[in-house]
Parts: sequence; C-alpha cells; structure tokens
Amino acid sequence: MIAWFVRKTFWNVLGWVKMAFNRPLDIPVPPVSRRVIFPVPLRQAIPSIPIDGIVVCGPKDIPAEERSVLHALFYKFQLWLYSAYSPMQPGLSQIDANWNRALKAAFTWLHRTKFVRPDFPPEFLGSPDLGSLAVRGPYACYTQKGEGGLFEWDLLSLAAYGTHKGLRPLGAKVVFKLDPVRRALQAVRIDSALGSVVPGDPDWELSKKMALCAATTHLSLVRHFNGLHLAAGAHLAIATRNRLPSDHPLCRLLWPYMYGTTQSNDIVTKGQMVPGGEFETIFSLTHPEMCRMFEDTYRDYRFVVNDPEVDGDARQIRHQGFDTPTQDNLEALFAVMHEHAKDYLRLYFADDAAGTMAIRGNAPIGAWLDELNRLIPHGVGVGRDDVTVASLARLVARFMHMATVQHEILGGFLWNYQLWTHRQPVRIYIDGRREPLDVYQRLVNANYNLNVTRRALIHDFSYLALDAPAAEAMGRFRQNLLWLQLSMAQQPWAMWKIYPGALKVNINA
Amino acid sequence: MGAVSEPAEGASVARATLAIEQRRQHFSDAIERLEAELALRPAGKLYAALAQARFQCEQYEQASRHYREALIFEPQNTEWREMLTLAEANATSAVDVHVPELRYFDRATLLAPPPVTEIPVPPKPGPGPGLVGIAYIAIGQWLGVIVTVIWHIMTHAWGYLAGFRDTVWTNWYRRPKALAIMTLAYMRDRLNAHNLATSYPEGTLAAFQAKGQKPPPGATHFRTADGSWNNLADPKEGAAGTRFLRNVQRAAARPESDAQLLSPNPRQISRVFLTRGSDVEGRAQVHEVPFLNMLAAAWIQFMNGDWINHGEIVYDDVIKVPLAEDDPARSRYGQTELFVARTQPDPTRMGGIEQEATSSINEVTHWWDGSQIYGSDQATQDRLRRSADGQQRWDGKLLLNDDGTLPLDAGGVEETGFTRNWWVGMSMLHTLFAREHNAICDHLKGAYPHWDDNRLFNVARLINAAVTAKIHSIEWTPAILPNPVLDTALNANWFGLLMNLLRKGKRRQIFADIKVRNPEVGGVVGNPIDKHGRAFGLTEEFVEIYRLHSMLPETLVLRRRDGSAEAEQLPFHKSRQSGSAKVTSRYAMTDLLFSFGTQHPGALVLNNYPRFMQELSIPGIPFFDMGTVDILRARERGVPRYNEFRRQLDLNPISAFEDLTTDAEQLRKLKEVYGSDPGAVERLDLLVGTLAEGRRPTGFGFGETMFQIFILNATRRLQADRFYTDSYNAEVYTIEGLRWIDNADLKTVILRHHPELASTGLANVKNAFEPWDEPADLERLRPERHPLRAFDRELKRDPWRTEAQGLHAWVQWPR
Repeated sequence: MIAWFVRKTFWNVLGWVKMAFNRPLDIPVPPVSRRVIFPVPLRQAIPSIPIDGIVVCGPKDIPAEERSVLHALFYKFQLWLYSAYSPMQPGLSQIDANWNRALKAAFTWLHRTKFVRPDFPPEFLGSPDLGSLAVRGPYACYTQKGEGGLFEWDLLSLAAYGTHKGLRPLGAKVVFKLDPVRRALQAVRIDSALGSVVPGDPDWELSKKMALCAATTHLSLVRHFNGLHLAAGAHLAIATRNRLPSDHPLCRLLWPYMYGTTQSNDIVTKGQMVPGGEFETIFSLTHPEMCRMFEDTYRDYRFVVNDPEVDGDARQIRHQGFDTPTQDNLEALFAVMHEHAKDYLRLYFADDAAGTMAIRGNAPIGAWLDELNRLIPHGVGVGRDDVTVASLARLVARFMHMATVQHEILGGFLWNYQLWTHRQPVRIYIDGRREPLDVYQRLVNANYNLNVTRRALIHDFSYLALDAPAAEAMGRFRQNLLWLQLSMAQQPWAMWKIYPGALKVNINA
Repeated sequence: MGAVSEPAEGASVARATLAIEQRRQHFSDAIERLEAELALRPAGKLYAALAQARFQCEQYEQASRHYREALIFEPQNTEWREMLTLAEANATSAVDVHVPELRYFDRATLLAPPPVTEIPVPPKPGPGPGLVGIAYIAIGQWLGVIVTVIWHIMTHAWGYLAGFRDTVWTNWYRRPKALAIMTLAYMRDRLNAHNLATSYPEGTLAAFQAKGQKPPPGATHFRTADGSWNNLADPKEGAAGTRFLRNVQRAAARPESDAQLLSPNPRQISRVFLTRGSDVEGRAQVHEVPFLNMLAAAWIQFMNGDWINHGEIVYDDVIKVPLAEDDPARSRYGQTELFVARTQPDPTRMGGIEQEATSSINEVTHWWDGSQIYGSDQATQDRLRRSADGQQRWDGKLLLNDDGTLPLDAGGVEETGFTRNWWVGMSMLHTLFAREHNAICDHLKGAYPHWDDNRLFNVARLINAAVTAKIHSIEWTPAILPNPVLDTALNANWFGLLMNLLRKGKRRQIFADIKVRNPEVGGVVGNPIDKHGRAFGLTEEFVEIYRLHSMLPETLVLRRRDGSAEAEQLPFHKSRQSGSAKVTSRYAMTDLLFSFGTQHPGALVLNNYPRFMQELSIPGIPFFDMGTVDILRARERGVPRYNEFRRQLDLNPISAFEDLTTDAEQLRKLKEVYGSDPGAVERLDLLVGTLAEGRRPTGFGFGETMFQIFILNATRRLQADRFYTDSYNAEVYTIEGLRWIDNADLKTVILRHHPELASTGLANVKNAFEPWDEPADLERLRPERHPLRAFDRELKRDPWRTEAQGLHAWVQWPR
C-alpha cells in the first residue's frame, strides 16, 4: 500500500499541477497567413493508435500560433510516465463500499484546493432512477422513441466490443414507458448480457448498472471524444483554417470556438487513446476493441446531434406527453446561439444579394462547406449549392452549440455523475467487485482535468469583429446570454441544468 | 389483526352495526313519507328535507341529487348549497365506509401471550471491534462516567439555584444557550422522576403477562410485528393492544362525570374558541404559519399513526351534546343534539386489583417502529409484503404498484399499516416511506446478496423506522419550534452535544470513533437504554397534546410543479378515504409533494380550527364535530383540565385568564364561557388553554404546556426503545443501515424517489418542512419564512442566500 500511496500521490500532484497552472487561452486575431492542414489517418499521426478510418490534423500541421511548447512537453512527459511509472498498479483492492469514503480517498485535499467536490445527483440517492436520467442530465441524449409507443436507450451496439478479462460485456437497451400522470418516463425493461430483465427481477439492479455503465462509456468515448472532438471539432478547425481567410466574417465569428483545437486534440488523443491511456485503463474495453469501436462509431457519426431541436425531433422525444427538462434547457441555449448566428451573418450576407453579400457566390464559404462535408462523416447537411443565410446560420449555431453546450454536457458536466461508480460503474466485474483503487483514482483525475479553467463563452470577443456592427452583434449575444442566465437564476439551481455562465467557448484542454 | 376480533365475530361489532342501522331506520321512514309527498307536490323545502334525510342515512349521492333539485327552487339558499358541497365531497370520498373495517378489541387476544412471530433467526455475531475498537469503547465508557457525573451535578445545581419558572411561565429560552440547555435537561430530569406513571396495577407486566416467558430467538435483533419483545423481560411492554400510560398522578387521572363532561358545553367551546373567522365572502380565514409547509401538518398525523390510536369508537354508547338554539347545525342536520360515540373501553380491566380510575388501549404499537407503514400485527404485515401475484417475495419489499403507488383495497383506499383518518396527505407520506423501505431493501441486497426476504424486510424496517424517527426529531420538531436552543438540544438528543459541536450537517453521525456513554454528550441514540425505572408506553396526556387539527387548511391548493395548469382548490374533505386515490390518479406524487411544499398549514391558535372538521361525516355518524370531540375526549379519558394539567407537569398554574392572553376579545369570550369566578380558570379545557397561550418560547409554534409533555416524550421515545439504544449497532442495523440513517433527511428521502423535485424550491431549503420558496418569489429567503436559517452554522456567511447562490459557485459568472 505504500507503493500505491506514493504512486497515487505522484499522479495526484501531476493532475493538480495541470489544474493549477492551466490558464484560459488567449485567443488572438486570426493570422493572415496560415498553412494548409492536410488531415491524415490517426494511425499516421499517432502510430500507437491503430485506426485508419479517423482523420486528424497531423502533429506537423498544428498551426504555429496554437503550439504550446510547455503543453507539448508536459504531455510528452506524461506519456513517457505511462510506461515508466504508470498510474495503474495491478492487484490493488477495490474501492470502499461507502461511496463517500471512496471519493474522499481519491479526491484529496489537494484536489479540493482547485475544484469543488462533486455533487450527488438526486437520481443516484437510491437505486438509480433511469426514468429521470432519461430526461435530465447527460444521458438524456440517448432517449428516443422505440416500438409500440415506448421509449428507449439503445446501447446494445457496444456488446460487439470485447472487454478486459473478468469484466462483464458492455451493451444494454433500456425500455421506458410513459407515465402520463407524472409526465415522466419509467424504466420497464433492460436487455443486456443478463437477458431481458424487468423491475422486480433479481437482476434488475445489476441490469441498471449495466445500462448506466454502457451509457457512461458511450458518452465519454463515443459521444464526447470520438464524435465531438474527432468527428466534428477537429474538422471545424481544419476547414475553417484551410478555407476561410483571416478577414472573412465567418472566420471571425467561428474563430473562438475552434481556436486551439488542433493542438489540444493532438495531446489529448495521445493521453487518452494510446495503449495504457485513460480510456483503456478506466473503461471496460481492451485497446484493440476500443480502437475498433472508435472506427465504427466515427463512421456512424451524425452532426445533427448538435442541433437540439432537429435531434429531438429525430429521436421523437419532443411534445410526447412527458417533461423534457434537459431538452428544453438545450433548446433555450441553442436559441440564443442561433439568434446570434442569424444576427451576425445578416450583417454580411443575404440570399438574394449580389457581389460579396451573395451567400451562394461566396467562394470561401463554398469551399468551407465542401471541406466540412468531405471531412465530417455524413456531412453537415448544408452544401454550397443550397446554402442560404438561414441554413448557414443554423449550421454555425450547431457548431457553436457543439463547442460550448455539447462539450460541457458531455465533458466537465460528468463530474457530478461519473464519479459515483457505486451507482454508475465504469466497468462491471463478473465477480461483483467494485473498481480497484487505481481505476477509480484515474477516473477521478481524468474528470478533474476535464474541468481545467478555460475561456468562458461570455468573454468579450468583439476585438475579433471586422467592424462596429459585428462587434455590436457580439455584444448583443453576450447580453442575451446574460438574460438567459438571469432568467434561469429565477428558478432553483439544479444539477442537470446547463447555465450560460458555466459554458466555455471551445473544447480545448 | 392479532389484537382485535374479526368484524364478523365480535359482539361489539354487531352492536355497533345495529346502532347504526337503527339510526338510519329512523330516517328511512321519513324518506318514504317525503318521497310520497314530493310525488304530489314538488317543493324546494321538501327536496331539502329529503336530501337531509338521505344525508343522515349516509346516502350522499342521493342527498346531492336532492339538494340540487331543491336549489332549482331556491338558488340563493346558501345552506343548501353548502350541504350540497358537503354531500358531494362525502360521496366522492365514500365516507360512509369504515376504513378500516369495523373491529373492536378482544379481551382474550389482548391478554394472550405475544403471538408467534415470523422474524428471522439472529445473525451470527460478527468479528469483534479489534484492539483499537476496544480501546475506543473503553475511552467512551470512562468519559461517559465522568461526563455523566459532571453533567448531573451541573444541571441539578443550576436548576436548583436558577429555577426554570417565573411567576407563571418558564424562562429557559431567555437564558444563554448553554444555560438554557442545562435548564431543559433539568426540567426533563424532574419530569422523568415524577411524571412517569403506569396504568397497570403495580407489580404487573404489560397486558398482565406472565413473568418468565422466553422470547423467540430473533427478537434480540428484530422488531416484531405487534411491538412485543422489545423488552425481553416484559413481553408486551409497548406492544399493540396494551394500555396507554399516564404522565399525571393517579388521583388526577379521573374521567369526568356525565355532568362535568358537558360543562361547559363542548360544542359551544368548539363554536366559540375554535371556529375560524370569515372573510367578506363568508369563506374561512386561515391563520397560517409562514415558516412551515403542509408536509409538516401531514407529517405529524403520519407519526401519530405510528404511535397512538384508541381504535374504533363505540356506536352504541354515545354522549349526547345539546345543540344551542342558535346552532346552525340544528337546521342543517335536523338535530338538537350532537352524538359523540364514546372511546372504546379497556376490555382487559381486572376489577378489584385495578388502581386506575380509567384506562384505554392503544391499537397500535407504542414504539417508534414504523407500525403505520408495516401494521401492528402479523396478518397486516404479511398482507403488505405479498407479491403482486401472491407468491413469496425474495426481496424484502412492500407491495407497490408498477407506478410506485400503494395498492388499493376493495374500497378504493390505499393499503398500508394504518389507514384510520385517511386523506391524501397520508397517502403521500405512506407511499414515500413504502418506497423508502424498498430502496433500503435494494441497498441491503446489494451489500448482502445472500439474505432472504425475511431478513431483508426486517432490517429494512429497522432502518426505515429510524429514518422517520430522525426526521421527526431533528427536522420536524425544529421546524415547528424554530429556536436555536431547542435545535441544539434536539440534535444533541440524536447525535450528542459533542458531535453536534464538532461536525456540521451531513457529516454528523451516530457513531464516531469514540462514542461518549452519556445521553446528553454522546446522544441518546446508540447509548444504553434508560427507562427511568418505568416501563415504556405512550400516555393519554401525550395523545391530548397531539390534537393539532388547527394545522389543517380548508382546501388543498394543488399545483403542477411546472406551472402548466392553474392551481386547483380542492376542498380538504374530498381527499379523505377513497377520495385520496382519486386525487393521486389525477396528480403525480411529485406535484402533490410540490403542492404541499408550497402551501402553509394553520397556526396552533384559537379560532383556527378547520371548519370542515366541525362538520365532518364519519361512518355511522353523518354530523360529527371534531372540535367538540377534541374537548370531550380529554374530559372522558381523565386528562386533567388546563390548570391542573400544568400543576401535574411541574408548571405553575395560571391565576386568571389575563395570565394566558392579552387579547381583549379572547379574554371576554373566556370569561363568558368559563365564568369570571375565581375557580373559572380551573374549568378551562386543556386544548383551549394551550391554543390560547399568548406567551410562547421564542419562535415556538405552540406553547409551553404542550412542550412540557414533549420534553419528556421526545427523549423517552428513543431512550426507552432497545432498538434506538442497546441494539442500535452494526450487528442489528448493519454498517450500511447505520450509514443510510446518518445520511437521511426528509429532503434526501423525497429526492431519492422524486429527483425531478430537485429543480423546485426544495433546492433552496435544507429542512423540507420549510416553505419551498423559489428565487422567483424572493430575491433572498426571508427570516420570517425561514427562521431556521438564522442559526444554521453551515449558512453562517449569509443565511439568506439560496442554496443555489451559496453552494454552487462553480457556475462561473461572469468571468
């Protein structure tokens, strides 16, 4: 245990250093001269990750102004440590049966000096309330209409990927029925490796854990990192840098939302996806199987998940007779962003205008759309031939929503959910053990570092504006965010709510 | 029921049924005549008379129809309109149905040894505490000895020197906190020494049980269904079907004679001192408590169902209370007298050896054991534990519907351990704690997968009961009596002064490394049992001070938590009996909890009694004034009137009504009803006196006379129960169970089962009995609505910030 104490302390200090010395990124005006980024397969960028189907910005193409020698060296050191002095120590005992004590042992006084202790979601106070989680908080994104008027989380696809020895397979489907009096969903069946289980069956509690384990794994690995960082975020950065000139209004609008992404993605991908990285050692999947899952789910990515209204309609959860608080919350945030995008773009473009105002005749926009549609799996739904101010504004709002709201709910937001592994395990042992100390400690530290201080969405970016009207539009956006924050503050605080004041402008670590 | 006879067999049931039928028959004849007359000559008055007769026959549907017909002739007749509303509500709630079925105590059953109970065999003892543990225990014990001696000397010296009363009233609350706590401790010691009286003959065990009976093996570790064997040497101490004990001396506990019973006329008292005032439109004006919500009112009834009930009333032995000439009930019901069925007599009385003038039986267990949830007999418990398909359960759970509501019986009333005086507030709390029980079972099953159904059930019951006891002790009571001294004292009762001092909020736990073996410093819970030399049982005096009907409103304001619909004003009596399930079928529990969280209860003052309770219809008695009954019961059961009650309870008597209140109008009424002679104050009824007390300890929702009984019993309920003292340990409750209790409060319990309420005003309060105020209503929480916050150490920096503002600074705005 002494060896573990020393190891744990070392890695805790390292995580704390990252937290303590990280500063919000200063976002400069886009440089006039920029080199073109040529996306390369992930295997080529990071040889230890055997994935060809995902393309990323290669290390050499990372723009000079984004490069941070200190960050790069730090992460290089960290990667070296994975093999030289791994945060994992085989053979450790399981975490304490008392969730409070387990957290207290892993989330030390040192951690607390830089970030608050996680809150306990009310849904976890007893046996997890899947019905409430289906409409509140990060897992609400999985709720969709199923057959026979029922609703579901369908995460059965995860069952196709192999897990570490001694762990139960992933993959679960939760079926919900509507309770019209409560205006709520109620879990009535869970299909998993345990079979089809209904409330009252002996395996019901374990099935719930199976479902939540699948959900949290999918959320962190697929929705967050693969989908948001690699399939969408990276390509927004590449396309914007490659196709929009420095003085293009759209470049100025999008710049804060994508600045730093190439550098950040590079170091974080290494930290999380290499063998011995966080994903492999925290979650259930073996490294080869995890890579296979990344490749498969990258191909399946749908950009529309960043549009709450369209996504909600696609999942058929809007206006179905039950409350959808997280959906409503996301829609309210999206509405402010959409309004801003329309407000801003109308300053420069019109559907029926001629010359530089003509949106369809704007070559950089056309090229930008082309590149996005080429890079992002299944495209972004808007092409150079059918682009209008309205469709472009909605697309821009989706990117803004992706970099801010989606990144928050899929990332830092999990702080209050993912650490309570007694309710929502990150891996499920066949013999019923809880996670060993090293797995849990790494989970805590990984989530801790997801909450490094980053540039807030509400920051004044009007210095990026090309002219006074654009600066005013940016001011109006801040004002509208403030109004939304104030109106939300008129209601009691709730853990599942995303507040404008908590949002960061981009996805950088 | 183990302690009561089956309805079909009991002679008393037959007599009661006959008495009810005879009364109805009287009106049946009138119905025939009126119908014949109406066939010839339809008229409003005849329809109203027919409606009245139907009402008296408890045919509320027909009564409603006839009142509607009468109103066609005289649409402006307010009396008929009001009667129509009442009849409709009675029909909705099916108040003619006995809930539960009519049943009476049976002497043989009550005197029989405890039935063989289906409790699990005790677990094998776990590993010992280890060397360090033994050292801690030894330190705790030695500290306990030292602390107990010092504490005893200090409190008694202080009490002796400083006293605790002024000319009339107590004064502890005007002293510095430490001295005030010592004063309360001194007062409690005096009460324990002088006010614990049995109602069984000296030298006998409870229910005249034979000495030397052998307890069943599991009784060492688990509660039995009927509360027997809590004391392994006195099998039926505190069990269901045993007598209420007394807190007054034998000589003072004498039932009043028939003449005294009606003097002054209890109906007059009800009308003069209890009736709520009216607004300009004639609607009752409720004097509300701004710092409580309606859950507090429902909660105390929920608790009373656990502790006390006199069982069925005796329909064939009624007290006839004359109605005054100007009493509106004369014309509304066609009666000149109000009929109050007497309290069920104690069938276990033993003639010559009895020393008490009177006694009565508690239908439920006296213990704080959750018997309202689990029942007070094995048959009820078994019925509640069955699975939906009637099979043996494996999970220890109580039966709930798929949607988490309680199953309904054949009459449409929720099935639970105690259903008397049922209304939707009871449905809410019973459902909540049935769900809590099931959640505890899930938790235990996770920790002990090999446990069987019976073990899971019984350990979960222990834990669930302790959760309710904790909520009552350190949340409900401080909420209704928001005083910093009392808050500390109550927390000390549960956790001990030391834990209370060293740790805040949820970091407090019953067992620290060192548990000081002293009830004040180390807490009552988890320390040795102490009955102060007297067997435990709740008392007739305790019953009388829990007559808190004034807390009930006239209407329930039902809201959707998302504000999606206008609030509905539901007349309270529409939520009674089977009316409750009709409400829960329309409103989700979350909406009901939200509604209760945002509505205030009535204050415990004069002229604030619910009007609907003064015109209540109960099975067999269509017009029943609970206000009159509240006055009568104390007289009938030998509970002294106000001044003597105070003397008996170590308080100074009042010498004039002016001592009681400075309200000129109340003084006038007191003198008018009770007289102006020097002996008039001696006639003052207990309920009227306690409601009239104008001088109350700081912040208190009720006065010191009631509080005196409370001081005694708040501690005794815990300290005399083996399962909160000697057997409150990990071996009996499990480590997980002890932790569950330490972490539980009402807010946690509510959120555990209704997480959607996390985004309501519940988020802004720590004590769920406070109004669930939202920031939209209030920029900051105000002291008059949230007095507990003023002395909450966790909110020291700014008590009037919302939880959201105070605790979640990580929502970074603006940067």
